Amino acid sequence: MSSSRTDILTRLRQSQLRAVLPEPAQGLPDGIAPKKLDPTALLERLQAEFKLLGVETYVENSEEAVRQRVKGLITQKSILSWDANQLPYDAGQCLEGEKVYFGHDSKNDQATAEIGLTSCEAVLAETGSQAMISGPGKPRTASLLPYTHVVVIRRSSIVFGMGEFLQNFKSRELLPYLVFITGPSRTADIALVIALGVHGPGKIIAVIGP
Amino acid sequence: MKEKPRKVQLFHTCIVNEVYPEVGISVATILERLGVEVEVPTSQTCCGQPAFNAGFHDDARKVARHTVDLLLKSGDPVLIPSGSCCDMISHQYHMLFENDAEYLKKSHELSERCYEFSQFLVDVLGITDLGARINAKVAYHPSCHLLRGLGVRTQPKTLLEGVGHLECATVKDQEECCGFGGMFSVKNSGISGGMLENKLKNIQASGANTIVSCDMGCLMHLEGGLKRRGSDINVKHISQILAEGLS
Amino acid sequence: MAHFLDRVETALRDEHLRDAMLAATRDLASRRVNALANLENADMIRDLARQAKMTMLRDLAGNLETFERNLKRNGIHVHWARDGKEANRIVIEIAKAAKCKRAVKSKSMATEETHLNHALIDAGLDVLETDLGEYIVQLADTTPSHIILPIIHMTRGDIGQIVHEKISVPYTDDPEKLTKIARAKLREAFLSADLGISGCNFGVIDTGTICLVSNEGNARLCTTLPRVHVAVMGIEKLVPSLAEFDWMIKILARSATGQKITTYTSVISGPRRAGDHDGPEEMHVVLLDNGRVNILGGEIAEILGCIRCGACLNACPVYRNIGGHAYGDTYPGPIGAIVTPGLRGMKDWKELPDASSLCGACRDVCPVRLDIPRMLLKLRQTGVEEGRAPASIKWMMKGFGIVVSRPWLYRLSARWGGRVARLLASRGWIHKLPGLGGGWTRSRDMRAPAAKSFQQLWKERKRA
Repeated sequence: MSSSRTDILTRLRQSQLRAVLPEPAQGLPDGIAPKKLDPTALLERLQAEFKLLGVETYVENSEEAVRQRVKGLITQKSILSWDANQLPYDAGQCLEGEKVYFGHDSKNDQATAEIGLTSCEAVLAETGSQAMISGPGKPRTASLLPYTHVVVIRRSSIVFGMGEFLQNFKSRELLPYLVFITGPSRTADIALVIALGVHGPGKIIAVIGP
Repeated sequence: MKEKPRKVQLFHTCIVNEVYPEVGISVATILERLGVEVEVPTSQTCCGQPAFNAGFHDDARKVARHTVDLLLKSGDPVLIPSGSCCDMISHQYHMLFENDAEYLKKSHELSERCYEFSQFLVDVLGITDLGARINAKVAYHPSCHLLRGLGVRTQPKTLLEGVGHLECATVKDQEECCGFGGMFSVKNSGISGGMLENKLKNIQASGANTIVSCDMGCLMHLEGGLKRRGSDINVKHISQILAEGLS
Repeated sequence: MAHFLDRVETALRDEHLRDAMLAATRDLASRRVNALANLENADMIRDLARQAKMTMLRDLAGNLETFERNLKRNGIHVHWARDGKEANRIVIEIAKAAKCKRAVKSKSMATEETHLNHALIDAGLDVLETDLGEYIVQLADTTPSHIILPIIHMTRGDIGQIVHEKISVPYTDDPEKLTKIARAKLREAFLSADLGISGCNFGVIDTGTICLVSNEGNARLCTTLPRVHVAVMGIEKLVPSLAEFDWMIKILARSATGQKITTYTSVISGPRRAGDHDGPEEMHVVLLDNGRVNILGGEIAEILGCIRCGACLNACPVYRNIGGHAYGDTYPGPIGAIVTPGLRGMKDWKELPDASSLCGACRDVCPVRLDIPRMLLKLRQTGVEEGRAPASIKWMMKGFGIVVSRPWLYRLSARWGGRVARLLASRGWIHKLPGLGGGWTRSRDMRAPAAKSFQQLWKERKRA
């Protein structure tokens, strides 16, 4: 195994010397300047993107309204949820009296849930993407296995784009398992016809709080 | 403003010389009408593209050296009525001479002076309307090396729009290759034939009665395809449309 | 395997294939144009992305060492494979050591290259492709024909029939119903699999991160549910940091499908951590050479900057006419015409670089502006220098070089050549040419050379 490593690296070092690569272009900037929009513009852009993606969106102006909305969406259904304390606006209260699975339940049980309930680290207005970080109390499966995914979004967590979000993850230690989720699971493999819910959720509902 | 050139050297290309001599005449006619004297260096042959594209760089280099030496004898701009040959001399010669400092320098010097016909008229002479008039519905075919090699996109269209009574047809997939590609059309005749068929289908569907291009290679290919299909659509170099519209 | 030109003829005879390819590629190409038109600073981002890739390649060895160090620091096991065989052996050994029985795979070109599926099955493992298109490919026991749309060549009827026959469900050609059938079938597999295999779209050097993009979510499932995850990646897939990763993501999906971003962009920096509920307990990365080192050491090194979006396929009039299978190997289209001879050598693949009209559409759409026509020309030159051109063409070109660099000989040959050609013509047109020229007259006529050349006409005009 180590001999393959040495062999590849040795031959690469020889190859590099002979590589015909274009001369570096002059006058390019170091990067793309981060884009800052005011909160209203961010929210508007996000809503527009969600609409294009087919994400059902509710914008609520009080914590109570968020909880009512979430309760209405999940009640009477089987739910796979993040731990209650990981959900903003005390939305965890909505789980009371419902049939709920959590990250520590068996995968087979989790897979029977109809609705996944999560929050997310941030949302990207530019693309309508949820930046989802998993960890204790925050199973990945909740945004992956059920056919419907309800995500509770803190309005303050809206940033413009991926670049703006990733700036905060310069250090390796801060970067756990991260996924950007943009709309429902989809495919166009069969005759270029869009079909939703191939493997992940076919339906996403966003509840944006105050 | 820079003074406009009063004389050009015409690199007529081998296809025009042997197969479409009338195109050379119409190019010269237009230029002379615009007050530009035309000189035809008699020792010119071919730009060498057939050998170059087939990978025979040594053989192409011989021709390229000859062409560079010939065209650098005079300081006048070089006018080439073909996007492909112009791209060959302006850009691909650099690759041929990448290990020959002397000729690399010469080829750069030459490339600054080479112009395709429509490019010369619009960009150098500043002509957009020659006052030509002709009744025709034209499908413009932007040849690939003109469009993507030389970046000449708008100039031919500008000239065509300046022609009275001329209608430009809308062609689906207009910027797609016609399938010529020199040796490609012979070695990969099946694929080339498929591309030709798509192109002609789209042109026929556009209702055009004339195909206009700035490259006789593509037009030779398209004309051969039309002939085989018994179509009565004409093909014309842009200079022919302009010359006819003026007479 | 059939000769390239035979595969081409087979493809050209397939009317359905040509229509389907044309429709699909046109659709994707126009989506791409719209998507990039709506990206602010698109041209600059493409320049930056290109620069980042090229800079990374200049010291690929050093970058790989740093990447390896950071992967290890993240608790990821790193393996090096010189060729496909070695890569497959490594994956099998990982599976055996971890007592894995059932593997689920998400779409990966690198493992297509190594034919990993067959190797795993031979080693006694169950393997299931989970990308919908790849799943159908596996059911039909064929190969993908497009980098991002593997079954672009099949009609919905074809697909319905395959699904009906292979997994015994009632026939339907409704894409939504077929998708539901696949979801149920594959979900069972995901829940019982103990090995997840993926490729890798980007490896981020400074964070030791593997990035995967997918629209379906199968890559996410493959890297979430099984207890072991192996990512097989080509050694060229690196980007320096998350900033460059962001640029790549901005142009990848837009160029590929016209989406702003794919549905799932997974950024994975290690196995499950203490307290996590899911994710693999064990994570491996296999760094695959398989000919890439050779590519780097020459004229086509630039091709290693390819981010596999498939835009050049969709733009290519050759690909539109013959589809992916005619290219005969993992990578079809313009990219394949360079990568395949590069990875596997010119000997058996010299026809691929010839199969291009050099129209340049590929270079225009490439998000990282790879100069594909230049590389095709270089490969053709290499083929000639290695003596691989047919003798007839070689002598023809020799003759061309000699004649055309001597004006008197050129004039003489043109005059006599023209006379002979006119003898073959009727009313100024040649309908059938002998030898190589027969390729031309197969689908078009040839105008006979003019009786008087331009130079003759010009002299007469001057005299008059």
